[in-house]
Parts: sequence; C-alpha cells; structure tokens
Amino acid sequence: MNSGPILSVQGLTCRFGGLVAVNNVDMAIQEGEIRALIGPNGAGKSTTLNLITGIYRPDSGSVSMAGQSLVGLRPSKIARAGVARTFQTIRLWKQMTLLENVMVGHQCRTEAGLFDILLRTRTARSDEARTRAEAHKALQLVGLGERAGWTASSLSYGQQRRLEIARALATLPKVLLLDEPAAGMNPQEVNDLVQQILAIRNSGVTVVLIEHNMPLVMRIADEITVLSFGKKIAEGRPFEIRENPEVISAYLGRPDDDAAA
Amino acid sequence: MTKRWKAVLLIVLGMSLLLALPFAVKSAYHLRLLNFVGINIILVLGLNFILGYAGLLSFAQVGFFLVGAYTGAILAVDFGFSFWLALPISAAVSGVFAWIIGIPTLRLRGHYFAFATFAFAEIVRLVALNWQEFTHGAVGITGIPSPSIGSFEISSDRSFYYFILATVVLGAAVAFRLERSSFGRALFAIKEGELAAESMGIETAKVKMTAFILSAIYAGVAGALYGPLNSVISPDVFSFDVSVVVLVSLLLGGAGTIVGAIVGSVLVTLLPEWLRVLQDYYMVVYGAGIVLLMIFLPTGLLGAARALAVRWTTKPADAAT
Repeated sequence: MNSGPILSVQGLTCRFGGLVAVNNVDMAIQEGEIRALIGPNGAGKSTTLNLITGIYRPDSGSVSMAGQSLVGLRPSKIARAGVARTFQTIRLWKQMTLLENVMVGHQCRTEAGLFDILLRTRTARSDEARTRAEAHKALQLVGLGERAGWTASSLSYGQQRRLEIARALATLPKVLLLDEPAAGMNPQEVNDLVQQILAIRNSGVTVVLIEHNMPLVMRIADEITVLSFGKKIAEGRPFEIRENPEVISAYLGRPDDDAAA
Repeated sequence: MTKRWKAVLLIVLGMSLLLALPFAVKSAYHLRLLNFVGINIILVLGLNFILGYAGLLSFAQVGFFLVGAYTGAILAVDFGFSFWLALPISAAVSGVFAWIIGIPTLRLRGHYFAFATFAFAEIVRLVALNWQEFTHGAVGITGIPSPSIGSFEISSDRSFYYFILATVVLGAAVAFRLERSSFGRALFAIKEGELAAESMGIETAKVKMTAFILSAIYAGVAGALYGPLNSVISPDVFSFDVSVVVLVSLLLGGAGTIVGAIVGSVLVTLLPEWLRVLQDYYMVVYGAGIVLLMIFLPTGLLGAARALAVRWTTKPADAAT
C-alpha cells in the first residue's frame, strides 16, 4: 500500500515581481494523512495551494500526484486528476441552490455529452441520477442535507464554508485542499467541522488544510508544515511543532524585533 | 401532480392560441411582422446561451444570422440546393464560424470579448457587401425560392407562420432541455464564478465554446428561414441595429430565461408598431424606455415577475427562517 507519497511537492518556487512568495518548498503528503499548512499571514500558504491546483504556474519546482506531474495542467484537469479544493475567499455560485452547487462539483465524473442530454439517453439519465445522489451524500456529510433546495446566498458564513467542502467532495477527490475552513465559524461549528474532516479522512481522502485556528490544527493534524516568508521552516508532528523555537519566533517575533510587530 | 396538469393545460391553451393566431390577423403586413417576431425569437434564444447563461456579451449574433442567410441563399439560388439541404448546412456553417472566431475571442474577458464579436459582425457584413462575385454585393440575392414539402410550397405568410412556429417550438424545447441539464448548470456556474467552475473540474473553455456554437447555430437557422421568407437578402439588413434589437429583446424579457427571451422578442418587434402614433418622438420614447428598464428592472420582465411571485408566495414565517 505504501508506494510513496500521494501528493508530492519539490523545490516549489513562485515569484511575484521581486517578491518570492513561495521559496523552494518541499512537501511529501502520505495517503490518508491530515496535513496542516500553517504560518503567519503572507507566508505563502494560499499561494502554495494555488500552485498545486494550477491557478498559478510555478517558476520552478514540481508538483506530482501519485507520480503524475500536475505542473502546467489547467485547474480542471488537476481537479479531474483527483485534487479538489475550497477557497479562502468563498467562491460559491451564490444564485444557485446548494444542491446545484454540489452537482456541478460532480459533473467532472460524468460522461453524458450534449447529444445524450438532448435525447435523454440512458447515459444522461444515469449520470443525472448519480450526480444527484452524490450531491445529497456530500451535503449530508457536511450537515447541510436539509437545506439542499436553498440558494447558496441564504447561508451563513460558516455554512458557506461547509458548502464549499461539499462541492469539493462531490468531485470525488483523492486529495482535498481546504483553505481556512474554520474562518468565521463559531466554536460549535468548529467542533462539527473537526468531526466532518475526520469523517472525510476516514472515507479515504487525504486532507491538506491551511488554518489559523491552532487548537483545531493540534487536534486533527497528523503532520504540520510551517511556512514563513515563503520558506518551509519546520515540519513534524503537532507536539514537535508546538515546541519548535523557530516556529514560536516566527509567530511571536524574536525579542529584538518588537518594533516590527 | 396538479402543478404538472396546470403546466400542460397552459401549454395546450397557448399552442391553440398560437395556431389560431394567423386567422385573427387580417393584414398581410401584420402576418409578415409575426413571422419576423418568430425569427427574432430564434436569434434571441441563441443569444441566451452565450449571454443569458454564460454571461458573455456577444454582438456576433447578427454576423451568424448573415452567414446563415447567405449560405442558404447562395446554395439555393446559385447552386440549386433544396431548402431542406441548405437549412442544416447554413446552421452548420454558422457553427463553424463560431468555432473559428471563438478560439481567439473566447479567451478575452468582458468588454474585450464584446468588441471582438462586434468586429466579427462588421467584417462579415463588409465582406457580404464587397465580395461581388460570391455574395452579389450591395444588391443582395434576389429570388430566393420557398421551401416545399412534396408539391406543397411554403410560400404564403400563413404557411410560413406555421413553419416558423414549429421551428421556434423546437428551438425552445432544445434550449429548455439544455438549461435543465448538467450543461446548463455548468454554464450558469461559469457566469457566477469562472475560477471556481474551472477548479471544480468544469472544462470552462469547452463549455463556453459549446454555448457560442449553439448561439451561432440558432442564428444560422434564423438566417436560413429569413431568406426564403423575404425572398431577398442584402447586406444592409444585417446591420448593428439587429444586434441591438436582439440584445434589448433578451434584456427586456430577462436574460437566462427562455420565456423571457420569447416575451422580450415579441415586445421589441411589436413595440415600434404600437409606438408609431408618436411619430417623430417614437425613438426618444423607445430609447428612454430602455434606459428606465435597465434602471428599474435590471433582471428583465421575467426577473421582476419572479421576484413578485416570490414575495407573494413567501409567508412571513418562511421569510424569518
């Protein structure tokens, strides 16, 4: 079973003008793990996700998924390869219902073409039924099953974050990338989220999450990668990271740069 | 169940009215006008794919209309093709044009795409005007034969009415089915957020291209019908005005809705007739009306009707949850 990492990032570098947003980052994520990506604001965490999912193209370095290179592929192809994501700034289709949002997520796993749709062939009908079922299942998993017919815009912020997770799950990913899933959630919602992320992992999906909520990270992460100013400064198990002096200084500042804070 | 029966009843009632309509219309002029309404509906149903669902403002519709009309007319007049063969070829040629110009232009965003499609429409009009040997230049093509089924010739405005009605019904049915499908949802998702759609595995370039080609096929069919109906076509028919009429029809009725596309087309084609009493001031009133519409009914008549329906049917208790 253990045939190398499912998602592997090597020497990943991305520059915006003079700024090196991501600088020579390596990560090897094993199948079935929950990996947290943490670091102060501007550390390059979201940029790393955007590089993995093809929204940005790296200046150098490689991203590969179970041995297949993802660099240079369009985001849709990367999603089809099995990498799904949520967005830090919520990007739902607000005028569509919850069910429709999630159904679009499953569409990349269907086959029906335009003629199948026009002629309502067996392929079209079975695709539609399967898409609907998968969408309901994903909504159920994030606790939004009862609201399938609501429009996405009617949801609270925390619910919208969960809908993004459901939509990503409907693409049937092998790796799920979550960009600050707990942002804007109340403690009860965070608790539910923890259970949901664990359930997702237990269903066989590898999870990578960016998160500022440290108690959540410490509770669920198997491994933590810490970025600061685009560089990886530490990697290890939660208890190792908690005591790592590099990490503590990155977050709290060194005694002599109080002025910068 | 009752809701379904209501819908069936409504459709049967509507269709019988539409079937009886030519007998209620007295003058040949008004019957001709009705046929133009039908052609306009086909153009607007096409535009609805690219503008209404995908949210891309296209002025190319009149260009595809021209390509369809000229393909049909040239095939029939200069090469003796039967209408029934010329019709699908016209639709296909329009679709191929959309594919060719879609490759570079669909990468463009917002108003850049709008400008590029506007340029396309102008270019094909100028080509039709100047390529004498092939398009017959400014004079246009005359004597376009009527289609016939066996020995029956579809030449009177009344018989054309039924032919166009059938085409409109088919066009609307196809649009309706596509709207309520994975394809329709993908288009709507692109309109609401293209980056998210692409990231969820939707091949946005392909989906947009399909919508653009569909819009062109509808326009091609409209063009192939227009030639025999009018028996004459010339480049001046396919001016920017047509783009405006088609666009206003869709926005007035409600972009992204099939019923809206139809209602808008009917109103925009008939409105000038009703406003004729205003004589010289007609364009002023028409223009002011469009401005007011965009300010007060940005989602079109159908959008406004839906909003009202929601307000009436939502009980205060529903609104609170």
